Amino acid sequence: MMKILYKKEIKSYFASPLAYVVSALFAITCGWIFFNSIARYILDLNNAGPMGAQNIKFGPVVFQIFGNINLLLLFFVPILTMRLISEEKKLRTIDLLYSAPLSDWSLILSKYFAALTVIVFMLSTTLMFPLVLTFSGLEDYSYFISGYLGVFLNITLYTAIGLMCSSFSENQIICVVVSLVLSFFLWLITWASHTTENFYLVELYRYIGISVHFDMIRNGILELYHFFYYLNALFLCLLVTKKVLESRNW
Amino acid sequence: MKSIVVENLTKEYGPHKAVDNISFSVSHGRIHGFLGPNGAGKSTTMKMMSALLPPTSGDVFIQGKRVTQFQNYIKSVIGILPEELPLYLNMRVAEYLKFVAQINRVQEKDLAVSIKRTLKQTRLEDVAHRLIGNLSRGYKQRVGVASALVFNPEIIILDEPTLGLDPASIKDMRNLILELKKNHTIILSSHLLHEVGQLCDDLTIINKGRIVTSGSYENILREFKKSNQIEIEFKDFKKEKMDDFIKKNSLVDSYEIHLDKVNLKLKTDEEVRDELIKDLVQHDFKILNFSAKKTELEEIFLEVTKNDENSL
Repeated sequence: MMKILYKKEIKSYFASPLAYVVSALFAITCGWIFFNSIARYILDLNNAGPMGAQNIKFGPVVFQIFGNINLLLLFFVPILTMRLISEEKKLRTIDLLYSAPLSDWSLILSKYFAALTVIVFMLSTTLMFPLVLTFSGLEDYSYFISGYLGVFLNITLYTAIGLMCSSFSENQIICVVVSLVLSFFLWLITWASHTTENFYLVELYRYIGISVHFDMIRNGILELYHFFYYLNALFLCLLVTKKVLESRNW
Repeated sequence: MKSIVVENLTKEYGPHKAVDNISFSVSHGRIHGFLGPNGAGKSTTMKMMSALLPPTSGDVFIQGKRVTQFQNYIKSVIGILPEELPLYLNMRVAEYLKFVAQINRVQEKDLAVSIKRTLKQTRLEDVAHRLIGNLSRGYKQRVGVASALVFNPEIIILDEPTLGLDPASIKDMRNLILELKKNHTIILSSHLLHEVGQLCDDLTIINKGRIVTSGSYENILREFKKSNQIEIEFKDFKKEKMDDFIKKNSLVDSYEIHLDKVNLKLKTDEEVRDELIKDLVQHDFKILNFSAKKTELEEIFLEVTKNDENSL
């Protein structure tokens, strides 16, 4: 049953211009970031001379590129996920789904994976960057692998937040704004760890905030602790979505 | 055999009772009209019957199975057309019907046959490959009806199925509903009372969440039948002449003039039309048209809903 709903959702994404426009804008902006970062790197290498060039590393450049890609995704993912449930509510097609023998989980998961597929498709447009660098003699892909892994894990969470917010209202503007605020909140909450000396509070802020986990992973530090964070947060968002859908019975 | 049994059903939203302790039943293979003014609780009741909304108290049994216990089974035997059409406007008609059939667990091998049958039944064959968003209101309504039929449910709930249809399409819809009656139990809610009167075997009228009357259409007509009235169209009608006639005549109690027709209220419920015609002709009335005035569903509807309001 999930396969049928997933296919319908994917078709619906690609039947509207939204997915194409957002993907194109994302690819163009990422291209601009990539071009400027590499150009700056080459400029720094040339200015440093043969001796100083050894001190200029490529790793931090890639690290920064993925940081910027992540920032873009904070904006683009809510735009792609805002319609997932809210549109069904607005068009009353949600009644068609509710009147069929479907479980809420199959509805939620099919929508989640469909949105994730589209966003991964959007992200895949950036694969041309390591490809271009391969032709320029890039041999160490580890920065890219850990960078992509970090961004992918962030996407899984942003998509879940977007889906959850999409269930809150049939007004897509409200959904996208709430989703943006929540996603940014996950970034900004880490700042609160600098405002207290309480060890437990510091650890709590650092755990709830996404930035610590993302920084570790894109630096290649793949501890289970970070994966648990994403899994927990993802499950929480999907659970809230289910509870919101169930609220029709209240 | 009862297809649907509603027992003491109540739905509360905070202090407001949308449905207040209603009970009625729907027999197998019948068309059951479900009427009421806006906000009477019809849609809420229909949602509870189709497992879309849990009741606050009371029960609904579909083919003997309690709705709250066998939700997936209930959903697979009930096809519902809500008042607001649940259509994916970016889908083509056949594609949409395929999707609806699939989520309602029609076997892959039966899909093509089900879709073809439904397109034929609802006369949508010509627009099967058109985008739903580009169709007229009438066609969209038919697609909505088709979505309630495509998985061949035993019970079909139609909430305002003729909304937005032109007279020819209303006639088509009426024929379709009568055809569906052969194999399905149908619950029909509509504000077109004339249509309901032509189609329904049984009726339930609900107002402010409570049942005002329920039973077979014929029994309800009998129950609410007004005193014997005759509607006559005269040539060169003169009021003075009629006043004089009533004074002398033992059959007629009073009369009312409606445009070019005269309603004669008789003193008796017995069949006296032949005598009355004879008397009228003897008194030199020129009769152009003569018919017994029927009690219309609209009159019953207005009367019961008005009475209910007065009693509150």
